[in-house]
Amino acid sequence: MIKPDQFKRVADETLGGLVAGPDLLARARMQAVQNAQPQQQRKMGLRRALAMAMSLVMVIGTAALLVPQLRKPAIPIVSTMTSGETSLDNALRSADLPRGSLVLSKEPSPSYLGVWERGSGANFPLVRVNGRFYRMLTHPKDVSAITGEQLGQVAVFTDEPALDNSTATLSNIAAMNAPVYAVSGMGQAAIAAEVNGQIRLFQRVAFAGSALQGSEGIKDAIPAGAQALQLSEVGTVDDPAAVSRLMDMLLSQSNYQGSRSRGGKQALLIQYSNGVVLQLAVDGDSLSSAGTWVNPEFIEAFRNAISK
Amino acid sequence: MSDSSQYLGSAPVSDEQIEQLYQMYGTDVLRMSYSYLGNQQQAEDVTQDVFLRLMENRPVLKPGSEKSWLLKVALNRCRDHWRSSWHKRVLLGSKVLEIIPDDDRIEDRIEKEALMQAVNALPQAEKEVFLLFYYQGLSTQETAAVLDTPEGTVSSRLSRGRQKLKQFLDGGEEP
Repeated sequence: MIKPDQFKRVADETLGGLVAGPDLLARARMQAVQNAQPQQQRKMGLRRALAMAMSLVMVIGTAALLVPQLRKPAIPIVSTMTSGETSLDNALRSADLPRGSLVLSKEPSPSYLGVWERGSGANFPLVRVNGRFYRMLTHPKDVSAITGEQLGQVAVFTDEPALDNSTATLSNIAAMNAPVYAVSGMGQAAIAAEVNGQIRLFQRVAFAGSALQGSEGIKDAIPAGAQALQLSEVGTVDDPAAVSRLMDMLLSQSNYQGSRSRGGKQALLIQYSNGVVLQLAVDGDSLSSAGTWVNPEFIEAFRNAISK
Repeated sequence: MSDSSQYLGSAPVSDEQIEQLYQMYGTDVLRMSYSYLGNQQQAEDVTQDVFLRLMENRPVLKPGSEKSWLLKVALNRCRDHWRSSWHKRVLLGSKVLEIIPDDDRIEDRIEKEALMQAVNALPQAEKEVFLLFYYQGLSTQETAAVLDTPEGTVSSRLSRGRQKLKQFLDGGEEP
Protein backbone atom coordinates (compact mmCIF):
# COMPACT_ATOMS: atom_id res chain seq x y z
CA MET A 1 0.00 0.00 0.00
CA ILE A 2 1.26 3.49 -0.81
CA LYS A 3 2.04 5.40 2.35
CA PRO A 4 1.29 9.05 3.15
CA ASP A 5 4.94 10.10 2.96
CA GLN A 6 4.88 9.02 -0.67
CA PHE A 7 2.04 11.44 -1.33
CA LYS A 8 4.21 14.14 -2.88
CA ARG A 9 5.66 11.79 -5.46
CA VAL A 10 2.23 10.35 -6.19
CA ALA A 11 0.63 13.79 -6.43
CA ASP A 12 3.32 15.09 -8.76
CA GLU A 13 2.87 12.07 -10.99
CA THR A 14 -0.89 12.15 -11.04
CA LEU A 15 -1.01 15.92 -11.51
CA GLY A 16 1.99 16.13 -13.79
CA GLY A 17 -0.14 17.65 -16.51
CA LEU A 18 -1.09 20.58 -14.31
CA VAL A 19 1.55 23.24 -14.70
CA ALA A 20 1.45 26.98 -13.98
CA GLY A 21 2.16 28.49 -17.38
CA PRO A 22 3.09 32.07 -18.23
CA ASP A 23 -0.53 32.92 -19.02
CA LEU A 24 -1.58 32.90 -15.36
CA LEU A 25 1.13 35.34 -14.38
CA ALA A 26 0.28 37.51 -17.38
CA ARG A 27 -3.37 37.63 -16.31
CA ALA A 28 -2.34 38.57 -12.79
CA ARG A 29 -0.23 41.40 -14.19
CA MET A 30 -3.11 42.67 -16.28
CA GLN A 31 -5.43 42.60 -13.30
CA ALA A 32 -2.89 44.48 -11.22
CA VAL A 33 -2.68 47.18 -13.87
CA GLN A 34 -6.46 47.46 -14.03
CA ASN A 35 -6.78 47.64 -10.27
CA ALA A 36 -4.15 50.37 -10.12
CA GLN A 37 -6.04 52.71 -12.43
CA PRO A 38 -7.58 55.50 -10.39
CA GLN A 39 -11.34 55.82 -10.34
CA GLN A 40 -12.33 58.72 -12.51
CA GLN A 41 -15.64 60.38 -13.04
CA ARG A 42 -16.02 62.03 -16.36
CA LYS A 43 -18.04 65.16 -16.62
CA MET A 44 -19.77 65.22 -19.92
CA GLY A 45 -20.82 68.28 -21.77
CA LEU A 46 -24.52 68.56 -22.27
CA ARG A 47 -24.16 68.37 -26.06
CA ARG A 48 -22.13 65.18 -25.94
CA ALA A 49 -24.47 63.68 -23.36
CA LEU A 50 -27.48 64.44 -25.47
CA ALA A 51 -25.76 63.05 -28.56
CA MET A 52 -25.04 59.78 -26.78
CA ALA A 53 -28.58 59.54 -25.43
CA MET A 54 -29.95 60.15 -28.92
CA SER A 55 -27.60 57.51 -30.30
CA LEU A 56 -28.90 55.06 -27.76
CA VAL A 57 -32.48 55.87 -28.72
CA MET A 58 -31.62 55.42 -32.39
CA VAL A 59 -29.92 52.09 -31.76
CA ILE A 60 -32.92 50.80 -29.84
CA GLY A 61 -35.30 52.19 -32.47
CA THR A 62 -33.32 50.64 -35.32
CA ALA A 63 -33.25 47.30 -33.56
CA ALA A 64 -37.02 47.50 -33.16
CA LEU A 65 -37.40 47.99 -36.89
CA LEU A 66 -35.09 45.14 -37.76
CA VAL A 67 -36.42 42.66 -35.24
CA PRO A 68 -40.08 41.77 -35.77
CA GLN A 69 -40.79 41.78 -32.10
CA LEU A 70 -38.33 43.01 -29.54
CA ARG A 71 -38.30 40.55 -26.71
CA LYS A 72 -40.06 41.95 -23.68
CA PRO A 73 -37.72 42.02 -20.72
CA ALA A 74 -38.18 38.87 -18.72
CA ILE A 75 -38.11 38.89 -14.99
CA PRO A 76 -35.17 37.07 -13.46
CA ILE A 77 -36.51 33.66 -12.59
CA VAL A 78 -34.87 31.63 -9.88
CA SER A 79 -35.12 27.98 -10.82
CA THR A 80 -35.43 25.36 -8.16
CA MET A 81 -33.20 22.36 -8.38
CA THR A 82 -34.69 18.92 -8.52
CA SER A 83 -33.18 16.47 -6.12
CA GLY A 84 -30.59 14.42 -7.94
CA GLU A 85 -30.19 16.91 -10.74
CA THR A 86 -26.58 17.05 -11.79
CA SER A 87 -26.45 19.43 -14.75
CA LEU A 88 -24.19 22.32 -14.01
CA ASP A 89 -25.19 24.89 -16.58
CA ASN A 90 -24.99 28.59 -15.88
CA ALA A 91 -28.66 29.16 -15.11
CA LEU A 92 -29.29 30.98 -11.89
CA ARG A 93 -30.46 28.54 -9.30
CA SER A 94 -31.91 29.00 -5.90
CA ALA A 95 -28.94 27.07 -4.56
CA ASP A 96 -26.65 29.77 -5.89
CA LEU A 97 -28.24 32.54 -3.89
CA PRO A 98 -27.69 33.20 -0.21
CA ARG A 99 -30.51 32.26 2.09
CA GLY A 100 -33.38 34.77 2.09
CA SER A 101 -32.41 36.43 -1.19
CA LEU A 102 -34.67 38.90 -2.91
CA VAL A 103 -36.00 38.41 -6.44
CA LEU A 104 -36.95 41.53 -8.34
CA SER A 105 -40.59 42.22 -9.02
CA LYS A 106 -42.61 40.82 -11.94
CA GLU A 107 -44.94 43.80 -12.02
CA PRO A 108 -44.84 46.03 -15.14
CA SER A 109 -44.51 49.10 -12.90
CA PRO A 110 -43.16 47.75 -9.66
CA SER A 111 -44.03 49.71 -6.59
CA TYR A 112 -41.39 51.07 -4.31
CA LEU A 113 -39.30 48.35 -2.72
CA GLY A 114 -36.46 49.30 -0.42
CA VAL A 115 -33.84 46.96 0.97
CA TRP A 116 -32.27 49.34 3.44
CA GLU A 117 -33.02 48.22 6.98
CA ARG A 118 -34.68 50.78 9.17
CA GLY A 119 -33.50 51.48 12.69
CA SER A 120 -35.58 51.58 15.83
CA GLY A 121 -33.72 54.60 17.13
CA ALA A 122 -32.35 57.74 15.57
CA ASN A 123 -29.91 55.91 13.30
CA PHE A 124 -30.23 53.05 10.87
CA PRO A 125 -28.33 49.87 11.70
CA LEU A 126 -24.77 50.28 10.45
CA VAL A 127 -21.17 49.18 10.63
CA ARG A 128 -18.13 51.41 10.12
CA VAL A 129 -14.96 49.77 8.76
CA ASN A 130 -11.83 51.71 7.87
CA GLY A 131 -13.79 54.95 7.95
CA ARG A 132 -16.43 53.67 5.54
CA PHE A 133 -20.06 53.35 6.62
CA TYR A 134 -22.31 50.49 5.66
CA ARG A 135 -26.06 50.15 6.17
CA MET A 136 -27.68 46.83 6.94
CA LEU A 137 -29.91 45.40 4.23
CA THR A 138 -33.12 43.50 4.71
CA HIS A 139 -32.09 40.77 2.27
CA PRO A 140 -30.44 38.29 2.10
CA LYS A 141 -30.86 37.13 5.66
CA ASP A 142 -27.59 35.24 5.71
CA VAL A 143 -24.63 35.77 3.38
CA SER A 144 -22.18 33.38 4.99
CA ALA A 145 -21.84 31.61 1.63
CA ILE A 146 -20.40 34.69 -0.09
CA THR A 147 -18.21 36.23 2.57
CA GLY A 148 -14.58 36.97 1.81
CA GLU A 149 -11.67 37.67 4.11
CA GLN A 150 -12.32 38.85 7.63
CA LEU A 151 -11.75 42.58 7.90
CA GLY A 152 -11.75 42.78 11.66
CA GLN A 153 -14.08 42.73 14.63
CA VAL A 154 -16.42 45.27 16.12
CA ALA A 155 -14.35 47.22 18.64
CA VAL A 156 -16.87 49.92 19.49
CA PHE A 157 -20.57 49.39 20.07
CA THR A 158 -22.50 52.65 20.37
CA ASP A 159 -25.96 54.09 19.86
CA GLU A 160 -24.38 57.34 18.70
CA PRO A 161 -22.04 56.38 15.85
CA ALA A 162 -21.90 59.95 14.54
CA LEU A 163 -20.19 61.05 17.74
CA ASP A 164 -17.33 58.55 17.55
CA ASN A 165 -14.16 60.08 16.15
CA SER A 166 -11.98 57.01 16.42
CA THR A 167 -10.88 54.84 13.52
CA ALA A 168 -12.04 51.64 15.16
CA THR A 169 -14.48 49.23 13.62
CA LEU A 170 -17.81 50.34 15.00
CA SER A 171 -21.45 49.32 14.97
CA ASN A 172 -24.79 50.07 16.53
CA ILE A 173 -26.21 46.67 15.62
CA ALA A 174 -23.42 44.07 15.51
CA ALA A 175 -22.22 43.20 18.98
CA MET A 176 -18.77 43.82 20.39
CA ASN A 177 -16.19 41.46 18.87
CA ALA A 178 -18.59 40.42 16.14
CA PRO A 179 -16.59 39.50 13.03
CA VAL A 180 -16.78 41.73 9.97
CA TYR A 181 -16.10 40.29 6.51
CA ALA A 182 -15.58 41.44 2.97
CA VAL A 183 -18.18 40.18 0.49
CA SER A 184 -16.84 38.31 -2.51
CA GLY A 185 -17.01 40.30 -5.70
CA MET A 186 -18.34 43.48 -4.10
CA GLY A 187 -15.12 45.38 -3.43
CA GLN A 188 -15.71 48.30 -1.07
CA ALA A 189 -19.41 48.39 -1.88
CA ALA A 190 -20.54 45.88 0.70
CA ILE A 191 -19.45 44.10 3.84
CA ALA A 192 -20.94 41.42 6.05
CA ALA A 193 -21.10 41.20 9.81
CA GLU A 194 -22.53 38.85 12.36
CA VAL A 195 -25.80 40.11 13.84
CA ASN A 196 -27.76 37.92 16.22
CA GLY A 197 -26.08 34.80 14.96
CA GLN A 198 -26.60 35.54 11.26
CA ILE A 199 -24.11 36.94 8.78
CA ARG A 200 -25.95 40.02 7.53
CA LEU A 201 -25.18 42.13 4.50
CA PHE A 202 -24.36 45.84 4.68
CA GLN A 203 -24.24 48.34 1.78
CA ARG A 204 -21.85 51.28 1.47
CA VAL A 205 -23.66 54.52 2.30
CA ALA A 206 -23.00 58.07 3.37
CA PHE A 207 -23.32 58.86 7.04
CA ALA A 208 -22.51 61.86 9.22
CA GLY A 209 -20.92 63.70 6.33
CA SER A 210 -18.69 60.79 5.40
CA ALA A 211 -19.14 59.09 2.03
CA LEU A 212 -16.40 58.33 -0.50
CA GLN A 213 -12.74 58.54 0.46
CA GLY A 214 -9.83 59.96 -1.43
CA SER A 215 -9.98 59.07 -5.11
CA GLU A 216 -12.88 56.65 -4.72
CA GLY A 217 -15.70 56.81 -7.19
CA ILE A 218 -19.10 55.36 -7.83
CA LYS A 219 -17.60 51.94 -8.50
CA ASP A 220 -16.60 51.81 -4.85
CA ALA A 221 -20.26 52.09 -3.98
CA ILE A 222 -21.88 50.25 -6.90
CA PRO A 223 -19.80 47.48 -8.49
CA ALA A 224 -20.03 46.50 -12.13
CA GLY A 225 -21.42 43.16 -13.20
CA ALA A 226 -25.11 43.58 -12.39
CA GLN A 227 -27.60 41.02 -13.60
CA ALA A 228 -30.81 43.04 -13.45
CA LEU A 229 -32.02 46.55 -12.62
CA GLN A 230 -35.35 47.65 -11.23
CA LEU A 231 -36.58 51.22 -10.91
CA SER A 232 -39.77 51.55 -8.90
CA GLU A 233 -42.79 52.88 -10.77
CA VAL A 234 -40.90 52.28 -14.03
CA GLY A 235 -39.91 48.65 -14.51
CA THR A 236 -37.26 45.98 -14.53
CA VAL A 237 -34.47 45.38 -17.04
CA ASP A 238 -32.77 42.02 -17.14
CA ASP A 239 -31.72 41.67 -20.75
CA PRO A 240 -27.94 41.21 -20.40
CA ALA A 241 -27.03 43.65 -23.17
CA ALA A 242 -29.38 46.32 -21.85
CA VAL A 243 -28.19 45.84 -18.30
CA SER A 244 -24.58 46.09 -19.44
CA ARG A 245 -25.25 49.33 -21.34
CA LEU A 246 -27.15 50.87 -18.47
CA MET A 247 -24.56 49.90 -15.90
CA ASP A 248 -21.81 51.32 -18.06
CA MET A 249 -23.77 54.53 -18.29
CA LEU A 250 -24.40 54.57 -14.57
CA LEU A 251 -20.78 53.95 -13.65
CA SER A 252 -19.14 56.20 -16.21
CA GLN A 253 -21.48 59.17 -16.52
CA SER A 254 -22.68 59.83 -13.00
CA ASN A 255 -21.65 63.24 -11.73
CA TYR A 256 -20.84 63.24 -8.03
CA GLN A 257 -22.53 65.99 -6.08
CA GLY A 258 -21.10 65.34 -2.65
CA SER A 259 -21.46 63.32 0.48
CA ARG A 260 -24.92 64.47 1.34
CA SER A 261 -27.48 61.86 0.35
CA ARG A 262 -30.89 62.83 -0.85
CA GLY A 263 -33.92 60.76 -0.14
CA GLY A 264 -36.20 59.80 -2.95
CA LYS A 265 -39.60 58.56 -3.81
CA GLN A 266 -38.14 55.92 -6.06
CA ALA A 267 -35.66 53.12 -5.51
CA LEU A 268 -33.22 51.74 -8.04
CA LEU A 269 -32.42 48.15 -7.15
CA ILE A 270 -29.37 46.50 -8.66
CA GLN A 271 -29.25 42.72 -8.52
CA TYR A 272 -26.04 40.70 -8.78
CA SER A 273 -25.62 37.04 -9.57
CA ASN A 274 -24.46 36.27 -6.04
CA GLY A 275 -27.87 37.25 -4.67
CA VAL A 276 -26.87 40.70 -3.47
CA VAL A 277 -29.31 43.52 -4.23
CA LEU A 278 -28.05 47.07 -3.71
CA GLN A 279 -30.21 50.15 -3.57
CA LEU A 280 -29.97 53.73 -4.74
CA ALA A 281 -32.55 56.28 -3.66
CA VAL A 282 -33.78 58.12 -6.75
CA ASP A 283 -35.14 61.65 -6.81
CA GLY A 284 -35.59 62.88 -10.34
CA ASP A 285 -32.15 62.65 -11.91
CA SER A 286 -30.35 62.17 -8.59
CA LEU A 287 -29.22 58.83 -7.25
CA SER A 288 -28.02 58.43 -3.68
CA SER A 289 -26.28 55.86 -1.57
CA ALA A 290 -22.70 56.75 -0.64
CA GLY A 291 -23.39 60.39 -1.46
CA THR A 292 -25.39 61.73 -4.38
CA TRP A 293 -24.82 61.51 -8.11
CA VAL A 294 -26.69 63.15 -10.93
CA ASN A 295 -27.23 61.21 -14.13
CA PRO A 296 -30.19 62.29 -16.23
CA GLU A 297 -28.95 60.26 -19.19
CA PHE A 298 -29.14 57.06 -17.19
CA ILE A 299 -32.70 57.73 -16.02
CA GLU A 300 -33.77 58.51 -19.56
CA ALA A 301 -32.02 55.46 -20.99
CA PHE A 302 -33.63 53.27 -18.36
CA ARG A 303 -37.10 54.50 -19.27
CA ASN A 304 -36.32 53.96 -22.94
CA ALA A 305 -35.17 50.42 -22.26
CA ILE A 306 -38.46 49.69 -20.53
CA SER A 307 -40.64 51.27 -23.18
CA LYS A 308 -39.29 49.05 -25.99
CA MET B 1 18.29 28.32 2.26
CA SER B 2 15.92 29.32 -0.51
CA ASP B 3 17.35 29.80 -3.97
CA SER B 4 15.81 33.22 -4.02
CA SER B 5 17.44 34.34 -0.77
CA GLN B 6 20.23 36.04 -2.63
CA TYR B 7 17.63 38.44 -4.02
CA LEU B 8 15.35 39.04 -1.09
CA GLY B 9 16.33 41.20 1.81
CA SER B 10 14.77 44.16 3.47
CA ALA B 11 13.15 45.64 0.38
CA PRO B 12 9.67 44.98 -0.96
CA VAL B 13 9.56 42.21 -3.52
CA SER B 14 10.37 43.40 -7.04
CA ASP B 15 8.93 42.44 -10.43
CA GLU B 16 11.97 40.32 -11.16
CA GLN B 17 11.60 38.50 -7.87
CA ILE B 18 7.92 37.91 -8.52
CA GLU B 19 8.83 36.35 -11.85
CA GLN B 20 11.37 34.11 -10.13
CA LEU B 21 8.97 33.12 -7.38
CA TYR B 22 6.39 32.22 -9.99
CA GLN B 23 8.89 30.04 -11.81
CA MET B 24 9.87 28.35 -8.57
CA TYR B 25 6.53 27.96 -6.82
CA GLY B 26 3.75 28.72 -9.26
CA THR B 27 3.12 25.08 -10.08
CA ASP B 28 3.25 24.12 -6.40
CA VAL B 29 0.58 26.71 -5.65
CA LEU B 30 -1.54 25.53 -8.56
CA ARG B 31 -1.32 21.85 -7.74
CA MET B 32 -1.94 22.38 -4.04
CA SER B 33 -4.96 24.51 -4.83
CA TYR B 34 -6.22 21.87 -7.21
CA SER B 35 -5.71 19.15 -4.61
CA TYR B 36 -7.73 21.27 -2.17
CA LEU B 37 -10.56 22.32 -4.45
CA GLY B 38 -10.72 19.58 -7.06
CA ASN B 39 -11.50 22.18 -9.71
CA GLN B 40 -8.91 23.31 -12.23
CA GLN B 41 -10.54 26.63 -13.03
CA GLN B 42 -10.79 27.56 -9.38
CA ALA B 43 -7.21 26.42 -8.79
CA GLU B 44 -6.03 28.67 -11.61
CA ASP B 45 -8.06 31.56 -10.20
CA VAL B 46 -6.44 31.01 -6.81
CA THR B 47 -2.96 30.90 -8.33
CA GLN B 48 -3.58 34.05 -10.30
CA ASP B 49 -4.95 35.78 -7.22
CA VAL B 50 -1.97 34.76 -5.09
CA PHE B 51 0.48 36.40 -7.45
CA LEU B 52 -1.81 39.36 -7.96
CA ARG B 53 -1.68 39.98 -4.23
CA LEU B 54 2.07 39.65 -4.33
CA MET B 55 2.19 42.34 -7.00
CA GLU B 56 -0.22 44.65 -5.24
CA ASN B 57 0.96 44.22 -1.65
CA ARG B 58 4.71 43.98 -2.37
CA PRO B 59 5.53 42.38 0.97
CA VAL B 60 9.02 42.27 2.42
CA LEU B 61 9.59 38.53 2.51
CA LYS B 62 11.97 36.96 4.93
CA PRO B 63 14.44 34.76 3.04
CA GLY B 64 13.28 31.18 3.18
CA SER B 65 9.68 32.12 3.93
CA GLU B 66 8.56 32.92 0.40
CA LYS B 67 6.89 29.58 -0.23
CA SER B 68 5.09 29.71 3.11
CA TRP B 69 3.75 33.15 2.28
CA LEU B 70 2.48 32.03 -1.10
CA LEU B 71 0.89 28.89 0.30
CA LYS B 72 -0.76 30.81 3.12
CA VAL B 73 -2.38 33.24 0.72
CA ALA B 74 -3.38 30.34 -1.53
CA LEU B 75 -4.90 28.47 1.38
CA ASN B 76 -7.00 31.44 2.41
CA ARG B 77 -8.28 31.82 -1.12
CA CYS B 78 -9.01 28.11 -1.32
CA ARG B 79 -11.04 28.43 1.85
CA ASP B 80 -13.00 31.29 0.30
CA HIS B 81 -13.82 29.14 -2.70
CA TRP B 82 -14.61 26.20 -0.47
CA ARG B 83 -17.04 28.25 1.62
CA SER B 84 -18.70 29.78 -1.40
CA SER B 85 -19.44 26.41 -2.96
CA TRP B 86 -20.63 24.62 0.16
CA HIS B 87 -24.24 24.54 -1.00
CA LYS B 88 -23.30 22.76 -4.22
CA ARG B 89 -21.41 20.18 -2.23
CA VAL B 90 -24.38 19.72 0.08
CA LEU B 91 -26.76 19.24 -2.82
CA LEU B 92 -24.55 17.44 -5.30
CA GLY B 93 -21.92 15.82 -3.12
CA SER B 94 -18.20 16.44 -3.35
CA LYS B 95 -16.68 15.99 -6.78
CA VAL B 96 -14.27 13.18 -7.44
CA LEU B 97 -10.77 14.54 -8.02
CA GLU B 98 -9.87 14.41 -11.68
CA ILE B 99 -6.42 13.04 -12.30
CA ILE B 100 -4.32 15.11 -14.69
CA PRO B 101 -1.24 13.05 -15.43
CA ASP B 102 1.52 14.02 -17.73
CA ASP B 103 2.04 10.41 -18.75
CA ASP B 104 -0.86 8.01 -19.21
CA ARG B 105 1.34 5.12 -18.32
CA ILE B 106 1.59 5.70 -14.61
CA GLU B 107 2.63 2.59 -12.86
CA ASP B 108 0.31 1.37 -10.15
CA ARG B 109 -2.16 3.94 -11.39
CA ILE B 110 -5.13 2.57 -9.53
CA GLU B 111 -3.32 2.58 -6.21
CA LYS B 112 -2.03 6.09 -6.73
CA GLU B 113 -5.39 7.43 -7.77
CA ALA B 114 -6.90 5.85 -4.69
CA LEU B 115 -4.48 7.76 -2.51
CA MET B 116 -5.30 11.02 -4.30
CA GLN B 117 -9.03 10.47 -3.89
CA ALA B 118 -8.57 9.55 -0.25
CA VAL B 119 -6.68 12.76 0.48
CA ASN B 120 -9.25 14.73 -1.50
CA ALA B 121 -12.01 13.27 0.64
CA LEU B 122 -10.37 14.13 3.97
CA PRO B 123 -12.15 16.65 6.18
CA GLN B 124 -11.00 20.19 5.49
CA ALA B 125 -8.80 20.56 8.59
CA GLU B 126 -6.89 17.34 7.99
CA LYS B 127 -6.65 17.95 4.26
CA GLU B 128 -4.99 21.33 4.82
CA VAL B 129 -2.25 19.99 7.08
CA PHE B 130 -1.80 16.99 4.79
CA LEU B 131 -1.27 19.13 1.72
CA LEU B 132 1.13 21.47 3.46
CA PHE B 133 3.12 18.80 5.29
CA TYR B 134 3.21 15.90 2.87
CA TYR B 135 2.71 17.60 -0.46
CA GLN B 136 4.52 20.88 0.00
CA GLY B 137 7.15 19.53 2.37
CA LEU B 138 6.68 22.08 5.13
CA SER B 139 7.71 21.17 8.66
CA THR B 140 5.08 20.99 11.39
CA GLN B 141 6.34 24.33 12.63
CA GLU B 142 6.02 25.92 9.20
CA THR B 143 2.62 24.32 8.69
CA ALA B 144 1.47 25.69 12.03
CA ALA B 145 2.64 29.16 11.00
CA VAL B 146 0.79 29.03 7.70
CA LEU B 147 -2.42 27.85 9.36
CA ASP B 148 -2.12 30.11 12.41
CA THR B 149 -2.64 27.11 14.60
CA PRO B 150 -0.57 25.45 17.37
CA GLU B 151 2.01 22.93 16.33
CA GLY B 152 0.37 20.33 18.53
CA THR B 153 -2.85 20.76 16.60
CA VAL B 154 -0.98 20.21 13.35
CA SER B 155 0.50 16.98 14.71
CA SER B 156 -2.83 15.66 15.89
CA ARG B 157 -4.50 16.47 12.59
CA LEU B 158 -1.74 14.70 10.72
CA SER B 159 -2.21 11.69 12.92
CA ARG B 160 -5.98 11.66 12.41
CA GLY B 161 -5.50 12.14 8.70
CA ARG B 162 -3.16 9.18 8.46
CA GLN B 163 -5.58 6.97 10.39
CA LYS B 164 -8.44 7.94 8.14
CA LEU B 165 -6.42 7.34 5.04
CA LYS B 166 -5.40 3.92 6.28
CA GLN B 167 -9.01 3.00 7.01
CA PHE B 168 -10.09 4.27 3.63
CA LEU B 169 -7.38 2.58 1.63
CA ASP B 170 -7.63 -0.68 3.55
CA GLY B 171 -11.35 -0.96 3.88
CA GLY B 172 -12.66 1.25 1.12
CA GLU B 173 -14.60 3.49 3.55
CA GLU B 174 -14.87 7.26 3.18
CA PRO B 175 -12.38 9.10 5.47
